[in-house]
Amino acid sequence: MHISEGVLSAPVLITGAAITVVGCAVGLKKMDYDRIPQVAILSSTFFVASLVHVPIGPSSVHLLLNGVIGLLLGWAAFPAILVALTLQSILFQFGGITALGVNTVNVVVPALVCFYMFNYATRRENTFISLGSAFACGFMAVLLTSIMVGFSLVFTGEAFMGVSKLVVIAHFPVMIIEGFMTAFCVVFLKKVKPEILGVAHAPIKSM
Amino acid sequence: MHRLNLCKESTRISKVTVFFLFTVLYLAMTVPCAVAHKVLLAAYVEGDTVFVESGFSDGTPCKNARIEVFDPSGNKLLEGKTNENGDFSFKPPQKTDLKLVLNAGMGHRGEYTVPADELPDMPSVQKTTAEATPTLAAESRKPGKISETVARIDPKEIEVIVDRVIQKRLHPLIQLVAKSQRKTGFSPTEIFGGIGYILGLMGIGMYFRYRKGSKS
Repeated sequence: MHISEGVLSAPVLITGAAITVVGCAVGLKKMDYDRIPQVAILSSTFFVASLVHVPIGPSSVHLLLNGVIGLLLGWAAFPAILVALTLQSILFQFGGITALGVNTVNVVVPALVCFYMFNYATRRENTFISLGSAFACGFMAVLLTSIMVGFSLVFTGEAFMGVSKLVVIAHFPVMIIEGFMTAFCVVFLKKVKPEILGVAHAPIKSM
Repeated sequence: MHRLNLCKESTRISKVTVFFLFTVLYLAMTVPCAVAHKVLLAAYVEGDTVFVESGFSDGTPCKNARIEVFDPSGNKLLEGKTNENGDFSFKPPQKTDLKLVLNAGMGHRGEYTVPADELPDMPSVQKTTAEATPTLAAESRKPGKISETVARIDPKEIEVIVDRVIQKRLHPLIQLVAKSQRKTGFSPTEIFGGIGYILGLMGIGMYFRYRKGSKS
């Protein structure tokens, strides 16, 4: 989700930047420093994921993966995604430097919401609940991001309902794909490395 | 010993995530036209008209997008909409730097500046429009009795003709340049460069982490 330079008004940009600064501070404070490699790798995953273009739909959209990242990183998603977005705007001219704060908030806040909503459910032993909530996590994260993009654009004069509808519809295929991807990741991680799902919040002993 | 364990732990965690990263990377490299979210705008001047081409960096044109033209002090000179191919053309109302702004909706926006010296001189505009304005074309043909004396051909008319022919010949070339300008999206160098930056940051983080760890 990359809002370009010069689209948004100053109050929106400043609010976004302020939230990002606070969020990053919290994220860095809460981050377990032994998990830096994981944060870095998920950050690069996000960096690359935006290049995967989903050809279905009326507009060109790309993967976000903020559901998975939120689920695995929790608050550490803030610095991870800020770094990835900064590099994207410098190297690919995706989005703009001034819009960095807003773009970060639009991606990370839904990721965090999903983290708190689905963190415990995805760790449940019951495969059905775990799978279902993982799908919902990936789906919801993109949905919330689309709505937030609509919200940030509303202050620029575009009609809110119109834009939001457009963004949400355009991202519908992405929501489905990310739902499946998140579910796949959770199943895979539960088999291969169950601790990884727990440590984002608090290490739990047995699954 | 404890630290060693932690270290092992994090490398094992990373193995899983590295797998994940490479899956996505693979997708990014194999899916053609992978980039979506960048609006590319290019413009070139031909005769008295500025032609604008627009598209997302994956090659799809920005259809029916609003395009606005500003002068350097920010006054809107004119606005219009791109057609189905993402093209737009207009005649510049004055000889200044023209800032083109394209708004493709959903927060996508592109900019391009046409420098003033690429634009034709305004008085001479009328001459180069030989094709567009039939009256002038007719005028230049009127001395079509030219054949009588070559000497009667005004150097200005020759200029017009030469100009027109050159432009016709150069047209494909100009379009090619405009297109290649539009294609500057991303390259594997940039992708791996970005990942390198992130891993570098990780290295810095780890350095401080372990320096702190070894002190305590």
